[in-house]
Amino acid sequence: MKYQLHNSKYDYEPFGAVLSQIGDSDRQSFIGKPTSGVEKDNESSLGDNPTGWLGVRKYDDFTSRFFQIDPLWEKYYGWTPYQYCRNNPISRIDANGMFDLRATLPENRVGNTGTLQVIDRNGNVVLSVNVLGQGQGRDRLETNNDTPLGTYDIGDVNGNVFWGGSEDTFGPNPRMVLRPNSGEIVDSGRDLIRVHGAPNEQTDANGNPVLRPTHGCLRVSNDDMELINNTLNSLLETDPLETPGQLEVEHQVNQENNDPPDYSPELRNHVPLPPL
Amino acid sequence: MRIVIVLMFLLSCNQDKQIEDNLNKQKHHDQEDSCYYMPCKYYNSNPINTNEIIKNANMWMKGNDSCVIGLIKRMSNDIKNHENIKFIECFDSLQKVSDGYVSELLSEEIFQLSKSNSKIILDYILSKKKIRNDIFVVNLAYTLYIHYIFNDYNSSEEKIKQHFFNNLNPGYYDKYISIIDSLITLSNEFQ
Repeated sequence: MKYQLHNSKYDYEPFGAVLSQIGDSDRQSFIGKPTSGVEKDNESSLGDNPTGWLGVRKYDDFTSRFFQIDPLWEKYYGWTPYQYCRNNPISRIDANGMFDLRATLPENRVGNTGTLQVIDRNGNVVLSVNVLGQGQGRDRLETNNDTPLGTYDIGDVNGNVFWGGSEDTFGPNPRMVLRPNSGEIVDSGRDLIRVHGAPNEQTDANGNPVLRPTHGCLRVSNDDMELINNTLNSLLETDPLETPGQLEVEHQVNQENNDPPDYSPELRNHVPLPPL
Repeated sequence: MRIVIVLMFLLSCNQDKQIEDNLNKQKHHDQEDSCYYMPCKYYNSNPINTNEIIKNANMWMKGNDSCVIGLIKRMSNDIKNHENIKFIECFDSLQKVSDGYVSELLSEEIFQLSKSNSKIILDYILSKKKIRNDIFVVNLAYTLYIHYIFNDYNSSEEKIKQHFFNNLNPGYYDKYISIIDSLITLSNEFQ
């Protein structure tokens, strides 16, 4: 990787160590990705190795490890809590710069909706809509049943976030494409989960849309699907650093008042990991 | 502190196998890409090899959403227009391995066919030895539940009967009433 910054040119090793330098500037971007907007901290040194500060934790590009443990390490026993980007820094980046989605669903999905939030790369919740994760049955490891928990990558392998639109099965708006990344969705071996609306949407007595069960997908109302579409397109158009991140499907922590769990921007630095 | 760094490095070594496994998985996934666009190859023009779909249903539902939907719609139209039973068998095979949006699409298509061409769908169900745990039947019952029971339980049984009898010659009522009753029973179980 070659990047030019502050009139100096650097070649980087995959994990961010500087391979060679042309120019005399002592300011370096971190992990070879200047677009992440993180500058290496050359003053804070550990032994001979200057460290990088990745928002929440300090990182050492010599050992390719963080100095502090991952805040969500308990979820991912298969990996050391000090790892960076699942040891794959070429195709992954552990830095803010992605919009994410979070679906917080009730444990009892039957007829009970949860919340789907769109979170920009700075950790701000920019949209919150109702979502239903009810499928044919309750065993989330089985096909066609409730939407599995876990982390999904947003978009297909070619980077398309949305597909279709005006189809008689999924409503008038494009569907959001998801790919299994980690957690229950990977354990179950399930796939083909999407976020979408419905044709011939019905409303309740108050005129609110009724969300029908799915075959494992996340259902939102057609109006909300349009909102999600517009919000994400707007994020991508107005902020060149925004890219599709991940959707986290999780259960509501507090069932009594339906408050979603805290979601601090710091935790967004976490890269979800594959199961054992 | 150097010792700590070395220890951390050593700790990471036991992950080498896992990294290798992940790389192999990725490689395998890349190899699957050659099959990835199978629906794109066939949804538009090429003749569809139904035996191939029935044998390797998995390959026919992955990849580009529009192609998958296009292929299923194409087969559905062929069932409607030419009563091509072989494509119903394809739907049956696809449903056995599908999930999520593909399942929903297949179920909706079969639901619509059971309304417009109910005889062909009911005959296909009648040809099955067991229907209770058959995914084709269960998915149809589930779609009947979503359309007629989930939001409005009142007179749902009548609505489901009407759904099938709508375009059916009354002479066939006796032949299919038991299978329709079974579908109603199954649909009610989703409540």
